[in-house]
Amino acid sequence: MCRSSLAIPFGMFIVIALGALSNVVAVNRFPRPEFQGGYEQPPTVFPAARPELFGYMDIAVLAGALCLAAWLALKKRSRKGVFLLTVGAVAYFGFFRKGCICPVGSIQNVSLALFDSSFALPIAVGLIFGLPLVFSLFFGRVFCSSVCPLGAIQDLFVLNPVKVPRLMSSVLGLLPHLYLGAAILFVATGAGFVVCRFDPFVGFFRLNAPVGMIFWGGGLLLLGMFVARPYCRFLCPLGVLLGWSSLLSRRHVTITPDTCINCRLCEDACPFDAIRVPTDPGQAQEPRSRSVRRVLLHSALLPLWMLLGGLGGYFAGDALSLAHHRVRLAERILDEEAGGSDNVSLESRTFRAGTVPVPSLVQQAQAIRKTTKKGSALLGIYLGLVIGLGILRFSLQRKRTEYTADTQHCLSCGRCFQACPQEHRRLANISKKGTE
Amino acid sequence: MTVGKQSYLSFVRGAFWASMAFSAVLAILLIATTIQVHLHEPLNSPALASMVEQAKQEPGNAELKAELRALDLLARKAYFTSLWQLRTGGILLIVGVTLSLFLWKAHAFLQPTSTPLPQPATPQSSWWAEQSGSRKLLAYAGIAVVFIAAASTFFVQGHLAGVSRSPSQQPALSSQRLSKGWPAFRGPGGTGVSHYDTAPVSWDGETMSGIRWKTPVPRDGNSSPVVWDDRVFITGGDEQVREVYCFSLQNGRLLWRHEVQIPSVTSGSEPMVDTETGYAAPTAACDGRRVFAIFPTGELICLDLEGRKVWAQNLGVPENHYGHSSSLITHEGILYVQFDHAEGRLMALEGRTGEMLWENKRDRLSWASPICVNTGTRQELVVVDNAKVSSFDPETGSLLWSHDCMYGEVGPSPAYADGVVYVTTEYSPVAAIQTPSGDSSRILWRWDGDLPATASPVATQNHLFLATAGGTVSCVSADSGKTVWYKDFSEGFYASPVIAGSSVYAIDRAGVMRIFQAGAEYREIGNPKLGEACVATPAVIDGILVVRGEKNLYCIEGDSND
Repeated sequence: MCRSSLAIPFGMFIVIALGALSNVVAVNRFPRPEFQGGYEQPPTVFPAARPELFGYMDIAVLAGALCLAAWLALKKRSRKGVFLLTVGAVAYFGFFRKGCICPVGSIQNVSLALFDSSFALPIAVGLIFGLPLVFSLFFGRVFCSSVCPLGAIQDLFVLNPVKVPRLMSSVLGLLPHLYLGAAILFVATGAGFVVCRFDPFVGFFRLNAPVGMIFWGGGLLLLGMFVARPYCRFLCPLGVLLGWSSLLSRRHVTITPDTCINCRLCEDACPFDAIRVPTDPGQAQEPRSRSVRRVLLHSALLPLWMLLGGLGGYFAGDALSLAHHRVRLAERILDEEAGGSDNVSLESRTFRAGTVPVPSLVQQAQAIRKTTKKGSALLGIYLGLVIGLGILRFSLQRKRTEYTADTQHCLSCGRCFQACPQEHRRLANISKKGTE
Repeated sequence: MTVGKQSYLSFVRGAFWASMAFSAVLAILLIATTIQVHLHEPLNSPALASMVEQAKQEPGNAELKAELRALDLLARKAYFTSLWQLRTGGILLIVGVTLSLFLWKAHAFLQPTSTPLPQPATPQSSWWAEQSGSRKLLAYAGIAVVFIAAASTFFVQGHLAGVSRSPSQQPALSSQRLSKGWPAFRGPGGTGVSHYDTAPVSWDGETMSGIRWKTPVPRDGNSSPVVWDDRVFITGGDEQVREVYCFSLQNGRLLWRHEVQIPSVTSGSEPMVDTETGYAAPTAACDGRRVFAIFPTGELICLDLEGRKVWAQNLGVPENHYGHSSSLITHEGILYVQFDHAEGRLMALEGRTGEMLWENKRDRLSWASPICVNTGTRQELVVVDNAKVSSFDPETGSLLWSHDCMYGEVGPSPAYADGVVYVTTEYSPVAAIQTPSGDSSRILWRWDGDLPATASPVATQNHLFLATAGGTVSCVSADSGKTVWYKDFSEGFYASPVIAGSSVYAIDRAGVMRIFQAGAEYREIGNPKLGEACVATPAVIDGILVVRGEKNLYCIEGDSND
């Protein structure tokens, strides 16, 4: 059973299976009977709220899983343990807890609490958001390694990973920042929880999702067979925050338990391109003055990037405001009134049946658009800063003598030390001591 | 590799292929089942549909009903069974896929691997080039993002960007200021009494003597003209198109026309409109900032004085067997809509925005219009229906007083003068109701005689004048409720009489204006002719009359009555 030869047919099979699954979940609901003559529709029954105790149980499980992940990755250095925890995370946080509330989505709850004074952030949600960040600050991204259900399900699908060209990943690395900014912007303007709306895997966890969501998640899993954990690396907004805190982490996974012998095996083993390679000692060095000039130039260009980003963001505000349902509804109604649409949509018909007049809606939509433009200008400034700093990072000359984990992007999965000959030697020594 | 490990590996490999095959077969079956369910939805089976049709034609056929119920139950069972199959199959599929993944991983784990030899580091001669490339690519990507973001604004040019429909922040005009115009049906407050004492008394529509201008109205309508400043607003319409027109008071030029198209909330229903009522019977109203119009289709629109739409609502097609004809009225920036039909409402809408301030359910029909009067102690909104006359607080909508004194189909609107409200309709004698200075109102007197069917009465401090469809005009004493004088004309009155100064203006259906003294004796002032039929109530503005004929709109400025 050759892995590479089987990967493609296996992937095709998964697609067929997902297609079938999407049909299952997308099957029509039972049509409403057309009752006539005295039948009274039964009142709508809402399920009871989940007991508060379960919320605290989730926090306890999350904290326990984070502790275990940190111990497995940093102390025990057990890839098998990390893998088993990954399976457990998919089972508990995924299928048992239906993927909600996850720390990735909790960014939006925290943002809402910041922008909307009427929204009180539940303690449980605050802890679910904060715990992974705190652990990341001490132990690196152990949450990503095996606790996050979104990352865990992707990790199980990593079959035949290929390296993403560095040039491409440097550009794709902008997407999580964009997604994070957009998520906060949409929360601030009331457009909704975009991260939850486009959660790719919650449909699998709940066994009910729109067809689009099934294909979105299925596509990511299919892609993830070859480009490991694409959502985590190129989309996850929480990954941005975890990456920042992981940069400052007190302890982090190390590839080798001893001196690096520069064998390069870890570089091949890491499917996430999160290993910093040593610089070539024989390589011709660039004159220092030239490096300094370049760094100064790109430092000076930072404000320009921010200005450009701010302008672009401001202009994009019109388009981004359409994410808000009130703006879309106002546009639709105005279009209908201008004769641009042949049919009256269900939304506009329902709106007209209410008591709020169109001018109020238009006024509200214009206010939302104005706020969105301001917010998207700020988002543009942030993106400009990210781009400027990214260029600056690529302008710096660093000397490295051994392979080290990229503390910002390393997901602490343990694949690198599993491949390290020094690690094998350590384990052999432990085993030898054990037998003696 | 040991023999035992080899056998494990073989087992895992076999199990992997088996689980793959299982999942693949299951996936194909699920797809096929789904297609089958979609293609042959059991509830849409032709057999069931034909039986339903047959049952409709034979409502007494018990055997058919039982058979239909049995088949329906079977179809529903089949449907739910299909759902169960799909859901169970889906769960099994997830189990199969998970097992396949697990076995894949297990196989990889068990497969013998030789520890690779340490490899020499690849030459990094391209490191600088890569750094430089990354910088450039990032910069290009940044510029591209900015360009796309900036360009997006051109691709989402919606209507919101260009629309300036934010409600005017100008304060509403006071009733006193508004009374200097003719802002609603029967003028200020809807009482039919002009703020001005002077109005023309002689003209001839055929010879254009005393006529400032005469202009055709594009579409027919029974609504009356409304005048504010130098503009005349009027509505017209038919089954296809409803419009609001604005004419210059100076020269009669059509300044603008606005076609009303407000998508209906309820699709498919057509309004019941009597040919005599027409599609533009309710008169528009103006609050000095905006003009409002309503049509029997339920379309309610607010335009600014330049004809731009401020807001619009479709109230739904009223179930009103003659067609909606109640006119609008405004007070202190609030629009009042008497929307009488099977599920009628009296509504107060914020004039600037159309926002609902309050609404009262109305369970009776009428074709009359509300009046809004100051009784000296408070403002009252008086409405009438086929059972009672009611007064409401215009601000809150709370009921102030009510009297069950009406019956029949009510067309005439209430009249008001000096603290007394007068209501009547054909077959329902006039009731004079003293508005309360204290707790409750009371009926002062009833008067029975020739009663109006459509024309509303008009009152002064001492007299009430009633013009009827039969062509009679009665003057009733406000104090005693006795007939003061009575005059029979040759032609009936549909238009409501109005008062300017000491003169009553009542235009008959033939277009002859009967002008007489508003006093204890009948004293004729003039009988000028419009030159065409007329059912609309004239507007009186400082020596000017604006009259809508059957086809034309007239501005009359002949010799005055001063």
